[in-house]
Amino acid sequence: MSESSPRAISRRAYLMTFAWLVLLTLLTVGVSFVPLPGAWHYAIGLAVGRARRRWWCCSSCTR
Amino acid sequence: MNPNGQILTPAERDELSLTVLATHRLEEQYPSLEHQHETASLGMWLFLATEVLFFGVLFLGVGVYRHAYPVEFEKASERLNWVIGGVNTLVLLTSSLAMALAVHAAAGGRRGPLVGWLGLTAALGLVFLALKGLEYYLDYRENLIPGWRFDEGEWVSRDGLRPDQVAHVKLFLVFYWVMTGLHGLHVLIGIGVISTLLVLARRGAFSARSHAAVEVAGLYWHFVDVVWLFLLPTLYLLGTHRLGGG
Repeated sequence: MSESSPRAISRRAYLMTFAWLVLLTLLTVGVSFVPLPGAWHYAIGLAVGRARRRWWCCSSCTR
Repeated sequence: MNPNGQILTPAERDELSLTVLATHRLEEQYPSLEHQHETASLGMWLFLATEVLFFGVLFLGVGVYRHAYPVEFEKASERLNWVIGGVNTLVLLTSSLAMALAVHAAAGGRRGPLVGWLGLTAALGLVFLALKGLEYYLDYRENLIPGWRFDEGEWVSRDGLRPDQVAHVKLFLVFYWVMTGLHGLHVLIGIGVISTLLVLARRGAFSARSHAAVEVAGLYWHFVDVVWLFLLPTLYLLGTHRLGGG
């Protein structure tokens, strides 16, 4: 499989995904220090999970 | 034999060696390297599906008992070292990036970068295990090992829990040790696999057309990373934490 095959992902996409995952991890840890009602923690956790999923879909489409 | 009396010229020898290598890598049941590559990937995905079931049951268990004993689980979670857990998350994310770049280098047939990225991936895996070892030592010092080093009276006097609630703290800690221990074992296996690939890559065993082993090892390593991304909030970030609270 060569680099020019349709399955190849650019190096920039890897770096952007990495940066995005680090950002979401910091957000996840940061939110755990905010005194919010339990339901809000669930909502933010699900939003973070959805953001990870959406990023994965977007990066897959723009390979 | 050519006119100079040589059996093969250097160019012919190189070409033959590549042909032999490629033929050797293609197992007889596959019609092509691409087919063999796809089959290897499918096999790894099936294996990872069984791993999802394996870890999924443990996550489900934590979820069910966390719902049943929210106070005890949050008290116990506050005692875990979220700083080391957070730093380890960044270490594993970086190692996943290195592994992805290793697969990228293998797909491009670049041996030098492949060796470098595989080496960095394995090194970061070792950093993760070293930090995990430090965290386990601190847990030992903090009496957080049920059945071996655990002070029930401390949870009653310091955290205001009833003796029956302390049993639920122990339950959380058992989940913590089992889940992080099994994850650590997976990291250790991954380091072994990547180190083996590193040796093979240095010998030139992979090419742009034939690097299925690197790709499936990458799938495994990313899975190990993803499991940790779930372990961090599930075990370390329950309830509202306080800075300096451990």
